[in-house]
Amino acid sequence: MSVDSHGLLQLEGLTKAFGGLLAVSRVSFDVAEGEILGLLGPNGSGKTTLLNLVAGALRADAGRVRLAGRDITSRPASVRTRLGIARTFQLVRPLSKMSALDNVLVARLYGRDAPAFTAAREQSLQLLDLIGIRGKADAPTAHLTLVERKRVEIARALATQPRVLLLDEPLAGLNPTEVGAALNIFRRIRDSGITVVLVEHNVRAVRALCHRLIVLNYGQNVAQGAPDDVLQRPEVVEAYLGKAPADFQ
Amino acid sequence: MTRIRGAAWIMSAFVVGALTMLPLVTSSRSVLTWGFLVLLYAALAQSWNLLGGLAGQVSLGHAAFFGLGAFVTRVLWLGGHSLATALAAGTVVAVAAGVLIGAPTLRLRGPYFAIGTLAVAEILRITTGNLFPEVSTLRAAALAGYALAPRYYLALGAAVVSTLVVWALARSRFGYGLAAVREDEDVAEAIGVQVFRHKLAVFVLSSALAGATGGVFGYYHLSFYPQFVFSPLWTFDALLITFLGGTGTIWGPPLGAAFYLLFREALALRLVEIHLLIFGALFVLVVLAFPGGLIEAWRAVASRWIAAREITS
Amino acid sequence: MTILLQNAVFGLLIGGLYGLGAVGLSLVFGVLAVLNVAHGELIMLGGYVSVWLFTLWRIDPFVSVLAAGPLLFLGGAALFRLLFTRLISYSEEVRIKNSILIGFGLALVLQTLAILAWGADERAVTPSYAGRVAAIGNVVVPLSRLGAMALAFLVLGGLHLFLTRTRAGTALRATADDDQAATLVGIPIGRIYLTAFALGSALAGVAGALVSVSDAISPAIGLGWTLKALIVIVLGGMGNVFGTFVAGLFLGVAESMSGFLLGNAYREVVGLVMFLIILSVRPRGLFTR
Repeated sequence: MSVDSHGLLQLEGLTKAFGGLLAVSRVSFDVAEGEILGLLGPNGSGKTTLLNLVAGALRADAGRVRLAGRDITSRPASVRTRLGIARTFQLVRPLSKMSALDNVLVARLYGRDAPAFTAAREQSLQLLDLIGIRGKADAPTAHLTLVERKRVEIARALATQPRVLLLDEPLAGLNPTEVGAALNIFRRIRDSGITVVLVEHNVRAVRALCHRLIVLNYGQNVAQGAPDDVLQRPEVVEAYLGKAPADFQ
Repeated sequence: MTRIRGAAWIMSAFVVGALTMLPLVTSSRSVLTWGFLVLLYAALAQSWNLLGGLAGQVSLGHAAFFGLGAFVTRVLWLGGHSLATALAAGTVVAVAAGVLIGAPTLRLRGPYFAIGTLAVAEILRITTGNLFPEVSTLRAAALAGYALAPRYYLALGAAVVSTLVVWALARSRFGYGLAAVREDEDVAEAIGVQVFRHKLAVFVLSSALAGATGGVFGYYHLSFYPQFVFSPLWTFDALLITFLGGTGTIWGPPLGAAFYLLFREALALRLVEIHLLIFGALFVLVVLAFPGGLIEAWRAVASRWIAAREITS
Repeated sequence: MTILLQNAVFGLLIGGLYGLGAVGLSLVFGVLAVLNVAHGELIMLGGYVSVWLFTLWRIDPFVSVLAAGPLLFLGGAALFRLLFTRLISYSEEVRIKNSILIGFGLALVLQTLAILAWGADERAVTPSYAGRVAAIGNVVVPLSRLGAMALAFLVLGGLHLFLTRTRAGTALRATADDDQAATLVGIPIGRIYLTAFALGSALAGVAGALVSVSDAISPAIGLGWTLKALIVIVLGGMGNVFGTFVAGLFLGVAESMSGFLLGNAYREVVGLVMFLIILSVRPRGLFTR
């Protein structure tokens, strides 16, 4: 199996409709290995749906998803995870009656190259340490703060040893200090070789972190490129703010 | 926590040892019968606990597998086959039914799964009642040679095996996967757990244990109408006992079984059905207010006791 | 041919009661997302109201309906306050799952109470007109059953009017549709839930009283009626009173036909099999939730 030179993750013509509503419409782009790709767009533009299509939580009506050249479009989510795609949820979903450690441990046991039980436990503890919540390892996640739960969610995704990590609005609800800490974590994730696709609203964070941006509007890919370039384009401004200011004169 | 674990191990060894000695120490028919029933119910509840407690799949059709095991074992044993063959066949049939019934019903979400399994069990009960309406009794020869002790030991075996299975599963990788499925299926799928396969595997395992337990009952009970062993009361008893003792725990079902039969014996002297009333009410109470059952209450008390001792020492 | 028609007639007559028995459950499930699996026991209790009013004071079962309804309305309200109010704060999935468990415990308690109070034996109501029939050609139509079906139809008609023409009924439908939106437009959700549950129980009581006209009542009939109600709901979908009624008729006829073709013993099975088939084809059944 040859690795396609175009990118670790390739989306081609992805389309998803819910009844009469076209949520994602023929979206295609590549994600290069090791990059942090930002996915922007106003509410309802299809960002989370697109993530769900890549992760396998939803079946696409049309289009293909390829990971390292291999077509995974028909694979269920659990198989995609073992092939190397991990994701977090927009509204944090911890396994609430289980401890933080157990959350990560299950993911470690079922992820890529899963080790034996004792080793998995050790590695899970280390992961919690890396993310900064080692102290809360035994606490049931229902008792953790939002920030801590978000960290568990990320640690859990990392525990599956992903090649691509899909983050769905991880910075929502965080204050500036917390955002800064999160960005550092994401940078460390990227440095460890994991490719990141980041869905976010926080433009400043996206500018600081991402090499490249993709903007969605009404389910379509309307812009693509370096952050500074993309954020100034009229079609992007229009997507967020409506008509360009000039039209109001 | 380790102090509780250590104590639990010693206690379990003691309990199993005492239970093993029971038939050697007493020949009282009523004591042995009571012991047999506690162990039988413990095994049945434990088999439900595997599916409903560990994996979170509330099945209301458990009697189907208990019934199949009991019926098949009974027919073969009375037909002249060895007990071992009869029990094995009963378990195998229950396993096959587990696959046939589990595969379609597990595709149904939560409440529809519960009602769907109930419907299947009822279909089995009615059909069995129609095809085999005559009561099944032991012939005179079998009655003359009837000994309670071997039945007792079989029930002990079933209870021990099913408890061990729950214990082993809970601490295994598979058990962690089940816990994730129980908590949130979408998340489980997202972290690599193949949800349907896990559900089906535990469903079949639960059916096997229920079938084996049913087989023991088929060997024990003197006479019954075949549809009796498919009665929803068996499912209800399994749920009652598991919830009371603590769903998803290892010792919940045996504890619950002991309590249940203690009450049943104590109250049977006065009014036949009143134990059902009390347990039904207790069940509702547990669902509403004490989801953890007796085990949770015990743990809360025990850990508070331990914490208190640590403060004072 | 005559036998076929005869069976069909009987099926229709009992089917009307199936429909009535199911509507209460459907209402509760639709408005509250609570699946009260003790619904059959409430029907049983309605039957006992009729039995005792007849045994003690020779009150005609059709008149007992006027007592069974209100009594079960109050009883349902009490049960709701006691058991189901807690559930309202949970999400829909948790609500449904827990209500099945609670309902099952409740069913056990109610059934046992009935056994303790009145014994496990069957009891029948035998009014003076019990055996009277009307003959249409070669087909015999028992008048009491016909009366019960007619009354069931009337009750359902009344319910339909209530749901569509009154303010309270519209509030119920709105809550069934979207309870958050209902709160936002000022509908008192707590009271609506209570009313819906009490009303559903009242309908069960009425159904039970009408059942007593032609069938024996015993504490054990509860589970069977709950299953019938579930089958009818899955067959007919929710949200439509007359749809449920028609589904009930369909179940009644299907049962009597299969009883005729396969033997009386398999009447119950056909409904359950249809139920399973529909569930497997549409895993959410025809429930709109």
